[in-house]
Amino acid sequence: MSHQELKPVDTKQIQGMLSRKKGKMKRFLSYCAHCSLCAESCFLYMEHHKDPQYMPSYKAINSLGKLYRKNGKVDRKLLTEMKGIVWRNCVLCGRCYCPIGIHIPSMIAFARSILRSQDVYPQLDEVSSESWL
Amino acid sequence: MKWTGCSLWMIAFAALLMLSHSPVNAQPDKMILDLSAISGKTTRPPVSFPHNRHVEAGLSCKDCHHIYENGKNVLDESKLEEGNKGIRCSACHGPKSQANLEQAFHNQCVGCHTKYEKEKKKTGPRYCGECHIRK
Amino acid sequence: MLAFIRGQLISIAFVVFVLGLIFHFIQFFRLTRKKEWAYPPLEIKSQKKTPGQWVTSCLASLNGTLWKTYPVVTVMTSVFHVFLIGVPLFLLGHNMLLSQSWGLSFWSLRESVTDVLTVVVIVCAAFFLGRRLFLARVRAITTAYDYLVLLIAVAPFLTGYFAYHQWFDYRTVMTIHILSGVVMLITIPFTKLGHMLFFFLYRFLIGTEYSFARGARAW
Repeated sequence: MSHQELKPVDTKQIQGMLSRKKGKMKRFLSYCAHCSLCAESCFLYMEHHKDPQYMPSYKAINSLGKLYRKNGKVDRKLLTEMKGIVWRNCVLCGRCYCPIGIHIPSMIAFARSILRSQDVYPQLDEVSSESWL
Repeated sequence: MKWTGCSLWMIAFAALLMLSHSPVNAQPDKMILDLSAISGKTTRPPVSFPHNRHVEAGLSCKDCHHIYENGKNVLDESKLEEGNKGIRCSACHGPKSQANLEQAFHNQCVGCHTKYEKEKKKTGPRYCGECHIRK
Repeated sequence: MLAFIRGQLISIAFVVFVLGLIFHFIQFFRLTRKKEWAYPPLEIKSQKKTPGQWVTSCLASLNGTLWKTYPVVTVMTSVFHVFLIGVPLFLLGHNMLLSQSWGLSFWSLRESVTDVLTVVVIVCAAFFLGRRLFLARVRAITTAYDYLVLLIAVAPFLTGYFAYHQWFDYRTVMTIHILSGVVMLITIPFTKLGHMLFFFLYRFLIGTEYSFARGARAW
């Protein structure tokens, strides 16, 4: 865990990644009508007694959406929070359904690759399975 | 041009006849243009048309009243007197004519009000509900 | 000022609306490419079904959809969107203005019908507002912007209803009605109201598991 906190966040690199997929991702984020109809297509949402933070749209908005809104200017604390959202709260099963046709898994997957570029990812080999996030 | 046609302008006397020397002023000031007698049920309330205000605004009779032949208004102004059924709009603008009565009124009123607005002159109502007033 | 709002401003709004949608339409085709591989059709062609079997299989196919999970919302949203587009297009007053200026118009619904349908749209919008306010899962992702967008979408209907019944000061209501329509047209290409166009592009042209047609394009 410790080396993750030492390295500063490379904002330039994040911005570069964000702008590479801007056309698709910004459209996805801006056309989301915030209708919450994707909620029940997520098995994690159903398993967690319909806790809103497991909603597919909530996860996308609060990971990738936040990165775009802050234009990559994030600190490591925020990235660690996002790690929980995109790895623990989502398993990328790809079953989420959006009535408008927004492809949510691709947004979560993109958020994961941005986090990984900043060395933020679950380290299953280093810590006990209980606290791997 | 046909001079047939049933009575179409139902003219209600909202004011007493203002008798004066000018024939144009020998008109009821407010005419109710109610098409429901001809076209059946109408969705909008009938229009109350202030004839005098249009005369006072300086329009000549033949600006509105017309019989077109070869693109020219050949109406004889002396025929424009009350009671002459032949001068009513409905005499020509029947259900089958090029512009039916409703279209004729809309073209005449809206067309002129729009034209005057574009020419930056003082003009009449421009919204639907300013003529078709609900009680 | 009023003449400008009634005249040029409406033309400007329509031009912005159409050009904005065309721009996004072209951008969509530049961002996506033709798919080399398409999902095979999921359904296996079986022997002929009797009408009864056909109905049950149709009903069964709704099982995994929103019609099963959120029937009320699905009905409300379908009704809302159909009439949101349909009522203004087939409104007698609008068509009168169209035929006055262009000499052509759409077919019109009776005014007594559109009057009721306008209320239906407003009721649906109130339902969405209620969901936003009271349902935890919608509130979790709601921002002030969502309320604004809902207002932009409903304002023309509210003011149009007031104008038709000539409540309040008619001229003021009409001016607000026109302005709200202009705001809606201009904001459609640039806000999340753009899902008006993108719904069709995403659900029909992009090939995914959930697409309505056999989408031939991919991001």
